[in-house]
Parts: sequence; C-alpha cells; structure tokens
Amino acid sequence: MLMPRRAKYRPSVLNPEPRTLRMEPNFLNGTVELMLLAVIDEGPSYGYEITQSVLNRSGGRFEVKEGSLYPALHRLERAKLLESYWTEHDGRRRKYYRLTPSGRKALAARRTEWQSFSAGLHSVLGLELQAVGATPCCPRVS
Amino acid sequence: MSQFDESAAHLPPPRADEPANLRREILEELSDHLTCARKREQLAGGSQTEAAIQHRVLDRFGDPAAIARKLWLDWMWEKIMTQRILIGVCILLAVVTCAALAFAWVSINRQHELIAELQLTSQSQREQQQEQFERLLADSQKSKSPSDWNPVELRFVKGKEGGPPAEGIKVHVSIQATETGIPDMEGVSNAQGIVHFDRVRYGTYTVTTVNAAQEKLTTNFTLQPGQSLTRTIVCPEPPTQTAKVTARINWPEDLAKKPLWLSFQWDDIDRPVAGKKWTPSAQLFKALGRSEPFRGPLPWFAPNGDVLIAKDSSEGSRTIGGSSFSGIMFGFRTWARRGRSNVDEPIVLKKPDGIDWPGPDYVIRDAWVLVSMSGLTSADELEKSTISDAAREREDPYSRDFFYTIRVSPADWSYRLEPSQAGRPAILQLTPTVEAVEKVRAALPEFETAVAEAEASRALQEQRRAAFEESQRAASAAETKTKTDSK
Repeated sequence: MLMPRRAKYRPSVLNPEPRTLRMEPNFLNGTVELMLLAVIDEGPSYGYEITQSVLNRSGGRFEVKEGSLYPALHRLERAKLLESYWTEHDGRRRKYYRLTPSGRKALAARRTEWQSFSAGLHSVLGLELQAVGATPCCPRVS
Repeated sequence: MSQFDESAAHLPPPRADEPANLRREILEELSDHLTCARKREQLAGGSQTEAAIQHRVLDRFGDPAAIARKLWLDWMWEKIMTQRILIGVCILLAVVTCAALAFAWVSINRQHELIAELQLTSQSQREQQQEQFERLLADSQKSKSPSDWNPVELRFVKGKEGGPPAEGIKVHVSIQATETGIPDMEGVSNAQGIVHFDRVRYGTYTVTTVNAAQEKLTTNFTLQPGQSLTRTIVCPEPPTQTAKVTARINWPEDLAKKPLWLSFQWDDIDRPVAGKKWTPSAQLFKALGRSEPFRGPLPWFAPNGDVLIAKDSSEGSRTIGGSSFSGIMFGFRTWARRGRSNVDEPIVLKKPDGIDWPGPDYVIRDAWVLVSMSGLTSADELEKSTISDAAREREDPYSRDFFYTIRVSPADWSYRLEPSQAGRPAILQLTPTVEAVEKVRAALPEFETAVAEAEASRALQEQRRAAFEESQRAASAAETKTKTDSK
C-alpha cells in the first residue's frame, strides 16, 4: 500500500501546496477508468476509437486490452458515469459513450487525486517532470 | 458460422429477467470493434491474407466469446446473485418449514399415541369403577337399606358370651359428633335380649346401658357407610340386689357404752363383666341422700344401729371447759339465725327405716368418729335434743347437740353386710381396727373431762341462780309479811 508520509513530503512546482491524500488500495487499478473518462471527455466515442485514442495520447505507451476495455466501459455505464447511444455506420450499429454530469464530476475528482499521487510519487522517486514523447515500446495496461 | 454467431453460442442460456437487447448489443459492440480492427489491419498490412488478418485481430483482441460472456455476466451478476440469494432463502425456508412440519407431525403422532394410551387407561379405570359400582349396588340391594342409614342390632346376654338373653335392659344411643341434627335413640331389650334400630346414620355413637339394678355401662361403636352392625353386650349376672340395712358398730366393751357415732364417705367400685366395667349406678348415693359422690350430707350411724341423714349439720369449734374442740353441731344454724324470720325453721333429720344398700362394691373414702356431748345414742334422742335445744337457744345460745369429731383413717374400718333374715333388714357390720380403737381411746378423756367440767360449772351456776332466786323470793316474802304486819 502506498501511503505518503507528511515529514518527507517535499513541495514541488506541480503541487506548491501539497495536501496529504489517503490513497485507495485499488487506486492504480482505477487508472484505466480514469483514462477512459478522460478520453470520452473530449467527445462521444466508441470502443475501438477509445483504444486508439489512449494509444495515441500516451505516445504509444498504453494500449488498453479489449478484455479490460469493455468491462470497464460497462462498469462506468452501470455506475451512471457514462451513458451510451447507438448510431448506424456502414450498415452496422455502433455504440457511442459520452460522459454524464456525474461522470464529469468524478473525472475532475480523480484527476486531482492523480495529480497529487503523481507529484508525490515523483518526489519520492527524485524524478523531474519530463516531456512525454513517443517511445518504441508500448506497455499494455490491463 | 460467423464470429457473431460463435460468440452468441457461448453465452449462457437466455434468462427471463435479462434485458431484451443485452445479448444483441454486447455482440454488436464487439463485432463493431472487430470490424474496425480488421479494417485497420487491412490498411496497415496491405497484401496479407484475410486469414492472417483475422488471426492478428483475434490475437490482439482475445477471445470474443469469453469477453462477451464476461460482459453478460457483469450485467446480470446482481440479478443472478439476487435470484440465488432468493432461491437460497426459499430453500432455507422450505427446509425450516419441512422440519417444522416434520416436528409437528411427530408431535401429533406422539400425542395421538398418548391419547390412545390415556383412552385405554381411562377405559380400564371406567370398567373397574363400573365393576366397583355394580358390586356396591349389589351389596346395597342385598342390605335393602340406604347406604348412609343402616340397621344396628344390640344383643344383651347375661353373665358371659353366649349366655341367656337379658330382658329389660335400657339403652341410650347418641352420636358423638355435635350439631348433626341426629336425635338420640332409646330402647329396651325384648325377651330375646335384642334392641333393634332400623336406620342409623354412619358415625361413632356412645351407648349407655342401664340394667334393672341401675348398674350402668358406657361403650361406643362406629358404623361405616353401607354396613349394618350387630353388637353383643354382656350384662352382670346376677344383677346387684338392693337390701334394707341397719348398722352395727362393733366397739370394744369399754367403748360400746360411750355415745360414739360414725360417719363415712363412700365411693363406688366398678364391677367387671366380660372385660367391661359396669358402674354400680347412683343408687347408693340416692339412698344416702346424695345426688353424686363427694357432695352433700353423709350418713351417720348411731350407736343403736340407726342410720341418719343429717342435712343441716354445721362444722365448727366450741370451747368447753376452757379447751377448744372441733366438731359438728345441729343447733348452730338456728342459733345463728335468731331474730330472723326463719328462726323457727326446723332442722331436717332424715331417719329412714334402713337404707337401700345396692351390694358391697363400695369403698370407704373417709371416716369420722362422732362423740355426742349430750350422750345421745339414737336418732330419736338426737331429734328431740336438737329441737329442744333449738327452742332453748332463744334464751341460751349454748346447746348440747355438739358432736366432737375424731377423724380416723378409712383403712381403720372394715364393713361386712349380713344378709337379711326372717324379714329383718340386713345388718352392715362396721368394725374398727385396733389402731382406730386406740385413737378413740386416746382422744376421749380430754373431751369427757372438759364436758364434765362444763356440766359441773353449769350445774353450779344453776344452783347459784336457784339460790339467788330463792333468796329473792324469801326477801320479797319477808318484806310483804312485814308490811302486812305493820298494817
């Protein structure tokens, strides 16, 4: 379990007034959902497009497996953070997802949490923030 | 088979509670994804065969059927679990209900067994009670009388068990409980010696039996409900005879001439007959002028054999010749009542012509020797002396009907009844022992001396009074003569 310790917490440029967060045990497990919410926040999208968006926006680092994608999308839909609708495309039906108001609020909250987490993690690891660029390897997020 | 159909075949069987479009939408969404991926592969791969493209797409995508199945399960999980929980609860309830029913069934069976057992027991008891009731009814019909009221027969025989019947026995029967409302019963035995009471209620009774000689037996019997009773009572035989008696006091020669009277207190002795004690009745006490033992006047036996019942005697003491003697006097009450309206009340002296003496079964309880101050020796003399003394008391309280009392032990006397002969009364022989004689001899001289002194003094006073009166008369006569002579 990752538990930030106030005594060793160093202020950084990203978090000039850091606050202590109680990390959820499955915080990292929720990164897929966070990424999906962020992608769909750009506009209504469907499953394959979402995987491609994640892959592109992560510079080829993250590729969401379909086995994780659709269960996460359906879970967010059942939690009323997403809503779906169907359209016709090239003679076949396609399911689009878009954020609900609750989804937007949840996305904002999770972004804040992630910022705090990542700032703290960087401080602990002694890393500087670097510009994100494309890398040849594509780690899979499952 | 297309990919769509293959994935649909791996989905769980349709459920009634699943949304209508769930399967179709899952499969269409995955199908759209695979189509997009295949097109991208075609654009990227160019000359690859369709099979290689399909292989690459599926390799990246994974098993569509498994993903479709997982999505379907995610959607239906809550309903499936709710249904399972519901089914589980229903099964549990069914099991509990079955257990309760089974328990109830077992309990009802057990109750039925117990009821059957009780019915058997009850039936058996009813049969026993019926038998008992029929037996009692038969007994009751045999006796031909109500169970609470049954006949009682008292049989009286003479002398011993199996003796001849005793006729004329009076019976008084009373229940021992109080406030029962059952009256006492009485009867007299007939020639067969039987007294029969037709209906006597159950209970404990006291039976008082009196024979012709007034001898009495008190016994009891307990009568049970539904039972008759026959009791045999043995009566004294022969019954006690009463006899007219006079008394003879067998003093020694020196005392026979003295005016010595006797008085005794008697008590009866029970007469045992066949293990029962018969009381000689109150006849003796009636004969002696008493209604019950130890109370009332006592009989006096005069030196000449008279028997006297003295009802108005009084105990007291008198000073004679300077000494005080305790004794009994007859004129005392008359003297004490002088000046009152009943001053002439006569002294009652009962002088029966002998007494009815019902046998010798008595014992002397107390005994006195009475010494007459005036030397009286018969009832007639006592009566005359007392009356004359009573008449004289108006002038002189001193009376001569005083009897000096010498108390002797009851054991100092014996008595024997001589049967009557030739129509004369029977004789009650009263004989003192040597100790009694000596006691009287020792006590007599002082009293006799005192009486003699008193008599002498009295005589002297009489002489002086007579002389004085004579001198007075002489003086009066002389004075009269002088007056006559002077004239």
